[in-house]
Amino acid sequence: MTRVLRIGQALAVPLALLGLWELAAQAGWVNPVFVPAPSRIAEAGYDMLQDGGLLEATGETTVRALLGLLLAIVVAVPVGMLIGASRIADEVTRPSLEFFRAMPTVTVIPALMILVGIGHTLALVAIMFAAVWPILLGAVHGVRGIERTLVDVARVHRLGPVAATLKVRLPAALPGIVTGVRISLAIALVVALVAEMMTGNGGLGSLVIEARSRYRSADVFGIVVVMGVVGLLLNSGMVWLEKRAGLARIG
Amino acid sequence: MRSRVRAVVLGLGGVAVLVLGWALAAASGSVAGVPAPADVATALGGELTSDRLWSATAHTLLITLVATAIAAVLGVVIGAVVGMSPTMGRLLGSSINSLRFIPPVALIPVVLLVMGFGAGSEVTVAVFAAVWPVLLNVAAASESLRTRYDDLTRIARLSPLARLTKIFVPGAIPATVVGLRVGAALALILVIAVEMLAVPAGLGHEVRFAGDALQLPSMYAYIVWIGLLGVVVNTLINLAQRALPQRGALPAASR
Repeated sequence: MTRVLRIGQALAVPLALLGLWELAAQAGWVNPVFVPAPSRIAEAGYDMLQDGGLLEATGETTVRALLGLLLAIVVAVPVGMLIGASRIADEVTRPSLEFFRAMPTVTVIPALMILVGIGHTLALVAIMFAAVWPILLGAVHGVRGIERTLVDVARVHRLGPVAATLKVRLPAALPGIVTGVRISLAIALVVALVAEMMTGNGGLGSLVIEARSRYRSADVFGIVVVMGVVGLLLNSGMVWLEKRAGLARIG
Repeated sequence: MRSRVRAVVLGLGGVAVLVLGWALAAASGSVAGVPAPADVATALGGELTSDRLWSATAHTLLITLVATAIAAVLGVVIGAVVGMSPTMGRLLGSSINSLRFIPPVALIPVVLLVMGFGAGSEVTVAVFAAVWPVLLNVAAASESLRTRYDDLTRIARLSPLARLTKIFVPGAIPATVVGLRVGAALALILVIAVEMLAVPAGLGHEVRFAGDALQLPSMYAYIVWIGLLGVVVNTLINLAQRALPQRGALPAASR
């Protein structure tokens, strides 16, 4: 019974809001040309799923965001660990890194449009550029925060530099890296969408801009819902990975 | 003290190496479309004495500030309600957890459709981005305050008002500031994104405009300026955070 009550409580507010929205659109309290009823949005979403364009665009955006993030991780983790291993390297790079991390990275998209053109690489390069800094700084902090005793343990066990890095430094720096990746994941999706909206080169970003310019309001709202679902799924995947990594560390 | 001087000198050296690398890359002509740092500096100098840069900066910062303030009020109120009352938490939790994963940029087309190409659209999108870190932090802090001081409030027979002013408000301030720090940075990003995509005003528009006109030194000057602005905003919030008392409940996960 309590379970039913809980589910009821969780559904009550969203259902009430959707009902009110439907009513407002049907009764004409809001202009249904700009704010279509939820039933119209669901219908439009179903149609877009049927003709396959929406699924394709969803896949394109998701793959871009994840691939850009992966590239950022591949670059940022080794470089960040190298920087973190030396105090001088840390001090030399700190202000530059802080500059890039604090900079709203979407601003580089117009520059990248000129540098690499508006093809498929643009979104990837833009995502990578935006996603690399939090991971890089996370890796630097992670390595800098390693306790001396751990380094001594590695020395006592006569681990070579490669083994010491893989067996001691990387696991110890992992929490910092994971924090950076979590921040970068959200950034990656945002930058992917902005790049797509600006260039019109595939993905959900282009799809939504096209729908908006034709005043297909129900399509616009439907695509936004799909973007929310993609955000939710990516975040859940990250939480799942973090849990697995946590278990792996304990075991 | 000596180590701080050392850090500053080394850090500036790092920046110098970076600019030198940029100058060499531009001079070699191997990367097309990158202006020399000297040209960018000249363009930035020119823009700094013009009205355009300052009015664009004022516009972008004002919108960011307004959006952050609205997000702070909304985030604190809703976060406190959700954290302090388990019933409200169950009622609103599902809505919060489905809305907060919508990437804020996704809202841009919808907001443009409903509100048009004005400052109102910029504020709305930025509020939607900035509200979540505040809301989630305040909710987590209020919840831990409620469970932690439950016995105390009963023993001391605190009135609901005293409970609010003596426990929740002082306890939730650090969480609010941490949330605002993330939120303000997000608001700035979103304001610039909306300006680049749609609303013809502010720094985002200037970057896009200079890029479309192929005025490369000017475009890079604006990018550098926006980067510096990001650093200034970040530093100011850091200082504010340090000035506040560090007691209270800080949730472990401060996303």
